[in-house]
Amino acid sequence: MVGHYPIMQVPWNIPGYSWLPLWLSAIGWYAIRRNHPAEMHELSIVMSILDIANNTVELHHAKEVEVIELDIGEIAGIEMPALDFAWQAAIPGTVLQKAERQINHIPGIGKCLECGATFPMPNLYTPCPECNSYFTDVIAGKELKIKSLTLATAED
Amino acid sequence: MCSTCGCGDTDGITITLFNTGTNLKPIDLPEALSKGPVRIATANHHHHSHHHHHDHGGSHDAVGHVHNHGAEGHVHSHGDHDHPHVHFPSPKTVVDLEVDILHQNQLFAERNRGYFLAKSILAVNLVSSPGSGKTSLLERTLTDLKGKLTCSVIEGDQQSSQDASRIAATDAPVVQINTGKGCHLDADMVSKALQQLKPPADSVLFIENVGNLVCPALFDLGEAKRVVIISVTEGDDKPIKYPDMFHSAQLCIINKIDLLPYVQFDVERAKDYALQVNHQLKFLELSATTGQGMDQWYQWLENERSLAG
Repeated sequence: MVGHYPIMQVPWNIPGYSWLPLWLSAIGWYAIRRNHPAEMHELSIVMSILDIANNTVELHHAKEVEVIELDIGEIAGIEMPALDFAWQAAIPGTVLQKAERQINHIPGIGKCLECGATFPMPNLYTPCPECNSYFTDVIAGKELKIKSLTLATAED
Repeated sequence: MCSTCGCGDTDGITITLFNTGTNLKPIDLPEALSKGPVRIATANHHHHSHHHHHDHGGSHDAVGHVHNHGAEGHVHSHGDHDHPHVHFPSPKTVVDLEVDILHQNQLFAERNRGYFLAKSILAVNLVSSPGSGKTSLLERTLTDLKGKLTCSVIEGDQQSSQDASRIAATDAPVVQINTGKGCHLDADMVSKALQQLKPPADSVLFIENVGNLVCPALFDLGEAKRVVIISVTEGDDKPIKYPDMFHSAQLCIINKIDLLPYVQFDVERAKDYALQVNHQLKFLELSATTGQGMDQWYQWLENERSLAG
């Protein structure tokens, strides 16, 4: 009885059953969208990374990217879960699809313009711990850079 | 959107020169520009492939190109040009890029900035959450300054040309950019809009960004000043909830102050929060509806315009 797999016995004729795949995908889509709204600049960031990777691969006549090293500052305005989500959406099928991501999270560092102290700055509004002043400058943590790409050579 | 943004493909963006009612597809950049440093094809976009033929004076084999490294040092000829290159004795190559992820947007932004500088145009990027009164502020400004200051407008919205029609009613030249699914304007969109708008020299260009207090913060459009607008119907803690936008702005307009008696908005607290994020931020309190405080805004514009050259 070749071909009599259980899947063939699903009673497709029951009203609504034929829409099952649509329902499932709609539920999945809703679940994703609920947590990751369509509006996010992280997708732009991923597309920019991909542009640069494509260009570099082409320039070096390479095949694909094996390792991508990114510098991402903690107060650069990037949400890592959103970046991961955008990555999964945009990267398959590209030169980056097999690339191992090495992300250097650069901690925020502020400098107090009143007393000159440098201090950890987890938020843009962190005051100076020495003198409580908000008269501060960000000296690290806004990085958004591709540091290096390890390329796999093209097979001729 | 190709240059930095994956929010939608290029077909989703429309740029409309409003006053003549012409509907224009985004123009393609001149060929020369598209061959710029990193104008590249991506998954959804047009792919162009170019082959770079370089004479390395070495022999090419399956593992890449090989140079002879003799005892006297290694010599290989690149002809009369120099370019970054890697040696392929091993199948892996590490390229130290150290490049800004958004550098393509930055290149476009700097081009726009040069254009503004050459024509002494003051470009102002207006950013805020939706509903803070950006368009009403512009309507009032354009009406009041008619005949005193030449102004033109680039409107950014995901969909529709509602805002552009409101601006067009004031007789100011206006271009509408619809970003489709995009959540912000980028410098490339602005440069394309500029080619339609052709703002005159010694004028003020208002760029009304997509209503969004998050994403537009990261995208320089080439503007001289970034103005963030909050209204008193919002929370006074917005500056620390969305610090990136307040950190990147030079002026903060607190709008709808005519409603202060009816809402729980503490102006001083909002300013304090904003100054915690950005101690260089300046403030203007006004109401675009009643006109209260608008004079300071016009003065600020006049002043910045004269600084633009």
